[in-house]
Amino acid sequence: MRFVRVILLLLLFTLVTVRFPPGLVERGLTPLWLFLPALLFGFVSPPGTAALFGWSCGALFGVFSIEPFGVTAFLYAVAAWFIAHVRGSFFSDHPVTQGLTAFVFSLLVGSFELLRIEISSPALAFWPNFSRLLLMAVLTGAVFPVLWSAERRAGLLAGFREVESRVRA
Amino acid sequence: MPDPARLPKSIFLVRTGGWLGRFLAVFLARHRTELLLLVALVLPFAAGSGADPHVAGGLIGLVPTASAAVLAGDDAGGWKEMSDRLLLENADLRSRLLALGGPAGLKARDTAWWEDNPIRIEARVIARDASPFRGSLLVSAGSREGVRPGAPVVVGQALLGIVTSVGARSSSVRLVSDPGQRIWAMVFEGGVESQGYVEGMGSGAIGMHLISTEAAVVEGPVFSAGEDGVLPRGLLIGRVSRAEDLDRNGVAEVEVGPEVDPARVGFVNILVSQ
Repeated sequence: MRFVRVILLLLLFTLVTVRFPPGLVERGLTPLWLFLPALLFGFVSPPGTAALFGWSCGALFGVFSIEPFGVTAFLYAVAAWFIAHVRGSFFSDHPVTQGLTAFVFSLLVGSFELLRIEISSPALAFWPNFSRLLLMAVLTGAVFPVLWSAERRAGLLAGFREVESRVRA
Repeated sequence: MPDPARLPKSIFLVRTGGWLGRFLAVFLARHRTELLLLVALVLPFAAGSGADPHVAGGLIGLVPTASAAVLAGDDAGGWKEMSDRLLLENADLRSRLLALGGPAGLKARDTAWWEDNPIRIEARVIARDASPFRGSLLVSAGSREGVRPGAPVVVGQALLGIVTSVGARSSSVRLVSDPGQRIWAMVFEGGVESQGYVEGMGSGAIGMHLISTEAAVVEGPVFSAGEDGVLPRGLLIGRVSRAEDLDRNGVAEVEVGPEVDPARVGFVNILVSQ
């Protein structure tokens, strides 16, 4: 059943993403919804598991986007994997560091996406969209500690935490 | 299996009088997180107004209607659909009005195509692009309905986008505002036709590069020029919202406000020539 709750969680975030797509909401400002669970896995799971679920979040995102399938999945997987590797070197349980990490990685992932669009399409899309990306990254950074705290209380990812898996090993 | 006597009291929705009660109590205790997530996921569909043939898109497509129904009562789904259809009809009437009083050059050359009366396939918007920087829609008509790649998608006579890929019962539409979109277009100013190309800038904005222009463009509707072999002439793209003077190379940069807001569109028409 632990996989079922993760699948339900991802589907829920997918619904929110497609129901409130950032490009279409008033002023275009929402958190990067499907990046939030990818970050969450990066903060609680071992690197392999984090990368796998990060990829799943990006793949779900890719299904509902005109972006070439796999680009976002790759970016989310790398971000989750990297966070899982480095989280031991900072206070990853503190809301401020969580928010900052979410902000920085949202900005990085979004910038890579924008650069890819800039290179592959005729329009110059990077700078006209960068200010919006900045605000969306701020929102993602603000929402992530709340999600992390809710996950802790509800025990959503019980069974996927690194500590538990080490204990079992 | 957890001992029912040691479970939190809050989960005892049914008193454990028999085996069913005990089973329910244990089941709720074990899977309450999954059940909560499932309820959150299924709630928007509870008042859905019928099944959609698409697998993923169908589920997503039900959400706006269903959410409205949940919030506003049983008939909200119906009202939402009616509202979407009225918006479509309204856009159509406004476009026709514009064509009637529009630039003379446009009318004379454009009527031939409209009088051919291409088939209009009505389709429902079932999903929108998840990326903040791209513009695309998934609509509920595909090859079975006769949709082909490259077909213009309109609301009234206002261009919304172009079909990029077609499935059996759904199609993907790249919006005019998508950064990957570039369309040959024209604008009339003081009876003079100026041509150039419009391209999406992401986040709903459209830019236009006027190349062959003799007059300073300050306002006016922007139409498809029909010279790229993809789109017919005379589809309304938007209106000039800001214009700059000609640069050294004789190119003027113009900002175009899109005629149709994709966020508000529930139904579209796909034009297929006979």
